[in-house]
Amino acid sequence: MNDIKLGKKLIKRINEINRKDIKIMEVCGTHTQVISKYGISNLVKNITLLSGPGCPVCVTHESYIDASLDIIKRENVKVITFGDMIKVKGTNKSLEDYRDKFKVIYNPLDALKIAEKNKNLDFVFLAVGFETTAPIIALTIKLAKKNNISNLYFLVSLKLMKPILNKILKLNTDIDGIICPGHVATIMGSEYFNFISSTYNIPSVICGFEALDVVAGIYTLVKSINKDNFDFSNLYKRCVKVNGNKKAHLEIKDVFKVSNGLWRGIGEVNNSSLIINKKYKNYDALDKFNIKISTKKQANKCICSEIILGKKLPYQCNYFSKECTPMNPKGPCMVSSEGSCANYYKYRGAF
Amino acid sequence: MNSKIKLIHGDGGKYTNELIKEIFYKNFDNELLINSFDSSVFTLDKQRIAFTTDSYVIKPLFFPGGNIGKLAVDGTVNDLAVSGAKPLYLSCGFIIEEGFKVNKLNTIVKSMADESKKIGVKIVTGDTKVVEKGSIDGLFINTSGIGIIENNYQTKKIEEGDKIIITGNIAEHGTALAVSRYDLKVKGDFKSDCDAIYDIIKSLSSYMDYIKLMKDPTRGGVATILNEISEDFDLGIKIFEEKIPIRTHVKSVNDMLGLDPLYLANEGKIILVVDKKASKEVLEKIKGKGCIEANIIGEVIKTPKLVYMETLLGGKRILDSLDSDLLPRIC
Repeated sequence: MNDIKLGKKLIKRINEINRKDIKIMEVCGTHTQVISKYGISNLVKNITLLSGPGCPVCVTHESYIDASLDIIKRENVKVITFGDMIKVKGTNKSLEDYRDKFKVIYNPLDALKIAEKNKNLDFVFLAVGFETTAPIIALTIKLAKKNNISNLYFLVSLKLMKPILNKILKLNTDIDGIICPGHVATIMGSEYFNFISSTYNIPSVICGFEALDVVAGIYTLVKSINKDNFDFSNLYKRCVKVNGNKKAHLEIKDVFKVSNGLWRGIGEVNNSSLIINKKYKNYDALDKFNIKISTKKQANKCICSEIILGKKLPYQCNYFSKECTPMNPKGPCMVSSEGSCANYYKYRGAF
Repeated sequence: MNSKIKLIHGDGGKYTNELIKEIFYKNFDNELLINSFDSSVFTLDKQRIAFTTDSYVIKPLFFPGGNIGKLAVDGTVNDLAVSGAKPLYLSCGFIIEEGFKVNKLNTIVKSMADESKKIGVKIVTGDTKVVEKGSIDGLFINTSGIGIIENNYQTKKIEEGDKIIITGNIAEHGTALAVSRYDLKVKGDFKSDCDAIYDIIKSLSSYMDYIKLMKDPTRGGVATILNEISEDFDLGIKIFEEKIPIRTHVKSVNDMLGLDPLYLANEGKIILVVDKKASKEVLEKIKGKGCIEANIIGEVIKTPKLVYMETLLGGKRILDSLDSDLLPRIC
């Protein structure tokens, strides 16, 4: 409760600072949710809060979903997935259409147990996420090899935050400040995000996931923006160290290599994804099932790419809340509870 | 409506309502059905009767705080109780999968018997069907219940200013189910609140003139029930986050799982809409029945005609009705 009092005080301070209209972007689905859940955007005056590509499910490309559907249709194969993937549509269908062929888990390591218990079936784990989930997935793959589990494969779509932020900041020069994702920073270290201030001359801040963390982050940015300086600060020191988690880096390095990545709504971004390296090739579902991820551009009529890039807000899209709803998402931002459109749809509506 | 039934059509949210309206109401078209809330209330030989039915398909059959049998009694009895009735008689229908263990069945049926005894209802008729292995998942139970309306209770038109009361901590059932379903190795006291609520309502008999509506926020949770009320009466509801009773354990584990406790099921709580004149007295009375966490969480407003919450920080957040399944088969 003390935190909430302090949060209210900070909001008052933010609104007392005499300044121009500004735009702040956050790039983490959990931040998007905190902002919506606490109604922060309508508490801070003259600040537009933009949601970047921070939701791992939302940025997972249609052709990846299509590949997982190709696998799920096969005999004696089951898919293991995080819960929020099941509603995401590929070109036409979603995993939801194959209810008895997938198992939802919360911890990737559970995939090992499932595979060991059912040796007569092959399992494919849909390994999606950012730098945050990459270490635990790397560990799962390593343990699969170590324990000689031969009926578990991984369909990997792991994205990297730095290349996509570079792309956004090059394309959109209207952004006045960035709230960096605290979870990614915990793994990669605060240094990983230093480039924002030094390359693009805008302030940035790493913050955690309580309401107070986010409000304090906005306050820090507003102060910097007002003074025209571009500080980089870490307000999440209780978790984020300068160099991050070394053990996690080693796991990632051991199992994955950097490659070009496909982002839903955005397309291909150079060096923006992790794929399984040679050493663990036998665990790559693409090889096992002989699947190629299509890089063909999808005909997306909605403005998701502009929303993810911070150029437009969800309600500026013609489809928003009409043809495009969480039940029937047209574009990636409406897909998961962490997506920016889904958040606008769910929490803001009339406000 | 979609061309195929999806799981979300059964989760108690807006798609369930769509299914009920477009298929069942359209075909069965009669006033008693369409105007009923948790039970249908009608007059038989000058006595006002409440009649209700519910099917139980919960997974797993045994969960912390209860099992499918206890739930099948409490759930149906609670639907009668929130309709203002004293629950009297239940029927039960069992659909059992071939191969189901008899001792498990016996445990389930025994807890139904114990629970009915505790509440003072009798299970007076039943039916059993066994289906081939694979046709269903273990065991499904249907119970119907009948009761007599007490204190001449009826739902009343709600108005601006009426207060919303909840009788205790929210999201206990849904959270306990989520924790066991995801096999989370988290420590903490996660237990369903599955219980009969008739006793609480009975203690409010002298306030029935002020109690306008009672609901049990099961599937879809508090937020979905408030949306139903808002739609039915064409009014808005404003609630305050700081007033909503929730245990820290429950809040934290839901944060971790990305679930929203306002949309998770309760199986032993009541939401009451009460005339503001009597709301404090009603609250004290409820607390006197051991529901110390009970609280006035909000009020009925004229505009906007939607359900929203003032957040801890003072911001506003819409609480739409449940749009997609958080967790299927929770009751």
